[in-house]
Amino acid sequence: MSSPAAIALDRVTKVYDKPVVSDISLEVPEGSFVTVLGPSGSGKSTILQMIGGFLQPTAGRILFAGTDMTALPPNKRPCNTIFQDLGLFPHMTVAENVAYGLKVRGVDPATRRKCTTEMLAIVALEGYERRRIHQLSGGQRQRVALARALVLDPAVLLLDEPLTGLDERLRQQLRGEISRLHRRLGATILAVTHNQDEALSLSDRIIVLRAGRIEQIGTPREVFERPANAFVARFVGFDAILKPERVDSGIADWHARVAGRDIRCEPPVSRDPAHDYVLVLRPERIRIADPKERSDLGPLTVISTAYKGRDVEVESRLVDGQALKFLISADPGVAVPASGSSIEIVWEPMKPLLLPDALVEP
Amino acid sequence: MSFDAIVRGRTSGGRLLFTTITALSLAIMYAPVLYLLLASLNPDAQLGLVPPSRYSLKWYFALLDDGRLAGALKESALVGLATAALATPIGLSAALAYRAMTRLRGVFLLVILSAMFVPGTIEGLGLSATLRVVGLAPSWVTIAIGHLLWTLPFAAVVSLIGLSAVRPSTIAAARDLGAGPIRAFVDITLPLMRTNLISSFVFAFLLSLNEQARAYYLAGRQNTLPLYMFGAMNSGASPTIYAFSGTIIVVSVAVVALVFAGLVGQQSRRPRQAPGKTSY
Repeated sequence: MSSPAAIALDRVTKVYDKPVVSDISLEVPEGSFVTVLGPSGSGKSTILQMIGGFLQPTAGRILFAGTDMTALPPNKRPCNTIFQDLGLFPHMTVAENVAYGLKVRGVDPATRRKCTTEMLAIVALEGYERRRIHQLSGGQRQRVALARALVLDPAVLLLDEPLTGLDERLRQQLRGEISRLHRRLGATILAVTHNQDEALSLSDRIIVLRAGRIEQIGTPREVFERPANAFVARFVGFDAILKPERVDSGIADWHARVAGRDIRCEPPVSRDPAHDYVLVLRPERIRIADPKERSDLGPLTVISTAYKGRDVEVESRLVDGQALKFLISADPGVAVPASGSSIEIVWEPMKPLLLPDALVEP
Repeated sequence: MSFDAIVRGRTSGGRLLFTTITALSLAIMYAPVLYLLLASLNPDAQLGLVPPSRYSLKWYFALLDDGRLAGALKESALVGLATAALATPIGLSAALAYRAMTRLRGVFLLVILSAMFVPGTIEGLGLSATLRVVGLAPSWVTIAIGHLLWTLPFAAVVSLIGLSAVRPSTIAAARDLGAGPIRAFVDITLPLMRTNLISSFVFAFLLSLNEQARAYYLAGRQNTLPLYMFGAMNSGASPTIYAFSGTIIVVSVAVVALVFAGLVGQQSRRPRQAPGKTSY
């Protein structure tokens, strides 16, 4: 028997005027890093607040290590939250912030001082004990918030959009920091974010959420390479989407017909009778075919091109009117097609994925 | 020289214009008060030009011998302190209630703020009649009740402003770190609102100190300062009244200045903390 999950949600629903979270069940195994990934309004913050005890679910149970704690207030739960705006205490020093939880627990001053000093060393803030919060940089504040939660050695650490609102350099630095703390302290972490890069680089497991429902649960690799449907696909970067005229099942490959061309596709991993299939492709894996080369799809008319730094985005249209955007390298050696010109494209050796068209609500 | 530059005070002419307007406005605002101060030092000043030798503090010393004035001062201080001591926590409660409300917030705020616009004489008369029905004899207590009604909306507004500066996430964080609701309130909300709570107290005290219309109906045998002044003026302006007005002006300005200086000092001291003062 494996030990019970650090956190388990059992058919949790939260309804305001309408359901925000609908019948969600999930588990966060001990010592793992799980990320709930979803766009704004998908209910991910609501889930975090229900786990933290700040919101009561309308239905369902929340269990910590197998014990039902649905009815407990935040101060009685074995988890700590890093809030999106951190919630640091502006009237206290860095040390007082970090020691606050210990003080509330009645830990004696000598032990408080020792734990606080140790924790500040772990987050590389030695010597900042007497600083005020407003004297710190954004990254330092994040680390104070981390130290303040981790000093209590919580069974689970909850992160609400941990890297949102930071500049790129700081984001990378902090991402490393969180990853390091996770490994060093063996903490169980549940994060919510709308940022796919954050989710991919930090997590053992990703839960993709849309409109209060789980669309997919899997490892970063699974979610990134085998998205369950067109919604998840678009969220993890399969931005090139085509609607086929028809789809034929096969033994090894399936075949789809788009604008009169036969296209070999990966067989679908999930089947959903409520939706038609769509073909999804990574826009950066598409290139323009040489005139002598056998193309995968065409002809397409180039509508416009836009320089994006590393890539050039090509907006094109198929003969059946479908639009397709893809990226070509911005290297000087790669020719950028003129607007209005006719092109053919290649995506071999990649095969398009066939996924249920769940972009619209069923 | 563009019109825009003049309006923005970027030209020397523009700057002069606005300095003059500002100085004039301030002079008009404070002239009556300053005139009163002048007259308190020399009651003849109101009649015209007089030799400066006749300015003296003698009317201020005369105040000290006025037993009725001392009684009124004591009464006003008592009423003011009682009013401020009650209005501050009740105003804070109202602000907390407003923050916690999800429905009817606007109505709640409107009802609280409307009390600012009830005419003093009407409120005083109504309250005096009501308190008589209840069997409460007119005394400093009845005045304090009237002043509580008068100062509450102001106290509530000052608390609301203070509370709006307290981020909900700081309170949530305290709860998250193990504090119960009361502990979080004492450790986080109250310290973060300290400035506003002090302002609320001082504001309520000064409002009570200067209130006359309600006190007129609610006072027992002992008058408050404004009532005493009003009575004294009716029996002919005496030099002591000017001296007394002067005292009120100086004391009010001093109190406000002290509180303000204290708050500013506290703010600027905040970042620098004495070594060893950190309490873990």
